[in-house]
Amino acid sequence: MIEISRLLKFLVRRLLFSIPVFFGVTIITWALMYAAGDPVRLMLAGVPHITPDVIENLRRYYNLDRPVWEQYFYWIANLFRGNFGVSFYYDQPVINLIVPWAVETLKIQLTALALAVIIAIFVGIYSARHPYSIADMGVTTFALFGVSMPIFVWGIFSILIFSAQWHSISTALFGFPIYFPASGAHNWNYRTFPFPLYIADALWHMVLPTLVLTIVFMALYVRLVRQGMRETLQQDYVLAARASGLSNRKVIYKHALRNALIPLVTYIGLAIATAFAGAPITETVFTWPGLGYYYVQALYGLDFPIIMAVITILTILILAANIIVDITYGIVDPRISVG
Amino acid sequence: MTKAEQVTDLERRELLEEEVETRGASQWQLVWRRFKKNRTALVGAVILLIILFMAVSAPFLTFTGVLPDPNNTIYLIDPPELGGGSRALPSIFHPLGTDKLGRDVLSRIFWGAQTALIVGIVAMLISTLIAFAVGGLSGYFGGRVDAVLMMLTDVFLVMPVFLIMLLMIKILTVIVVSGFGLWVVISVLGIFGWPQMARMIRAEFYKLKTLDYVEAARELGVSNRRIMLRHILPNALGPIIVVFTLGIAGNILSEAGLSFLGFGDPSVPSWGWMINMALEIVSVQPRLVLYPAFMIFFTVLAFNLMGDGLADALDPRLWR
Repeated sequence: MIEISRLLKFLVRRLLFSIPVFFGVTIITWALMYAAGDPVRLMLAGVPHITPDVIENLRRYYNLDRPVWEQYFYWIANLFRGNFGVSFYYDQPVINLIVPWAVETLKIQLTALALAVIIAIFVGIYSARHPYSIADMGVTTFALFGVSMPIFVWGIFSILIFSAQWHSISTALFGFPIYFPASGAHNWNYRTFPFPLYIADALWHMVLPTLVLTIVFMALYVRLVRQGMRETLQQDYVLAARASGLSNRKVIYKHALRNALIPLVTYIGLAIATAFAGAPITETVFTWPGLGYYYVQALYGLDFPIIMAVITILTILILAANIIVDITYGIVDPRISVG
Repeated sequence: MTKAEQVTDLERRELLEEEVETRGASQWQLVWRRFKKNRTALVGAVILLIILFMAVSAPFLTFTGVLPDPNNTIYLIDPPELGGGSRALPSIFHPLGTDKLGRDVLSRIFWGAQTALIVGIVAMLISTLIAFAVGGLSGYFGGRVDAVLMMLTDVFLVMPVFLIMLLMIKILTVIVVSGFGLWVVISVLGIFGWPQMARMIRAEFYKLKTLDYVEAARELGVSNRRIMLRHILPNALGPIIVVFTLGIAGNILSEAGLSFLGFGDPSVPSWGWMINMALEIVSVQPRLVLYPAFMIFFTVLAFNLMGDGLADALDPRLWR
């Protein structure tokens, strides 16, 4: 077990590493946005009868008359007070808008991640125990196809099969057409639903985006589990455990699994950044009201407060996820102490 | 993976005889011999050759008049007997039909191969240069240089890269005059694609710099630059080639994703952009989405198969 004090020390060190990352990302984003020009001109584009006074006042209101580094520090100071500024387009505080979006994104991403890891472990173990069998060939082919197909193509196929033209496929397979909604996170009148129906409705809408994300994540993870397990099963200590008469199940799940999972855990730490950053594509395919979808919408309209806020929140989420993965790493592999 | 674990005695003898034959062969000849035997990697190579052929032949076919101009919208006003119109069905004149603006789909598929390969390879070359600079210096010098450069790499690894790429492309296309869209995409992909490779190069350099022959070169007074370029780099080339090949696949996927969201270059025929334009009508005419989707899929698949095959062929531990 890990001692508490060492764990604390480790956490502090990870948090200290997070600080330069956080500032690096926000400074890069800030510099890009500063390069894009004066947002006041953008806000007033097409508005008739603008006097120079109005422009002057707006610039003062958004602190745009200050030097750029001062603006950055205003922004950071406001950030720590939970103030992300006011959206140009929605004319509302960004923090009120962004929390529900983040909830929707986490809903599908975390469900898919958990499902993908669990399925990948079982499928990967099976495939490692029966190398070059038909099932193993199927799994490796699927994994290869999964990483080679763009995620939006998976999305388009799933919409065609379950939500649009191609319902004859599910009719042929199951005898009746299976329908899942292709867009949105709720029914239009979900606020009037009683609680159990509300949950069922939300889950029903989650099916397609979660399915597609699970397929893509799983394709990555199953290869790692299979490879790790195959290497572990040839280790001496596994052979020794088997020779001493332990059951197959015990050898695999008690002795081999922990070592076989190390590459997977390492990889997930790196993959989380890519997974969260891939949200715009998945969420745009399914019009899912999450961070990614609204980020793309904000980019079309150059809504800078929202752009900054989404990048900041995602960076914080990724850093948090990385710390969790590192702690898991220490639990999975007793040789690597977190201290 | 390889079937090295499953060899019988007979096969082992054959392998041994082959090893006797291979005495005197250069490293790259050995790699090629191993690569040849990997059937899935060869499939990847064949698909890749077909796509390369499409990319190279597209301009010739267009200039000789076999294929129509991919950007010509004149077919929009052609009568249906000539296969014209918006999103026309396949005909003799347009074997895959036309797209929303009446452009020939087959021609755009051919030209799209060129775009995909240019984006994938040029962006990866940029990434490799940065990765070599960062990873090479970091692994070779170690110490404080290493600490700073690896911190930079870690920052790039945990950034939400795709979001920042989208923002950068949007802002660069706002500032920079239009017409350089594809080059903006390529440079942004290149600038953000290096961290994984830099880590790998760093590990290789770190391992190789302690070897005797490098020490000997240093004792002889060879300059650091020459040691890095002439003595260490050739020996680190194997893993770099593998990551390079897989990175091209990743870049092609990213470009497709960017174009799909509308952040590509609309003036250049690109498979991702074709999907973007056909998406609004996908439930009526899925074929317009399927053609470019399958092209992206096969191209990325080919690079992934090649990468896996090269990884096996280049790994000396697997040589028999």
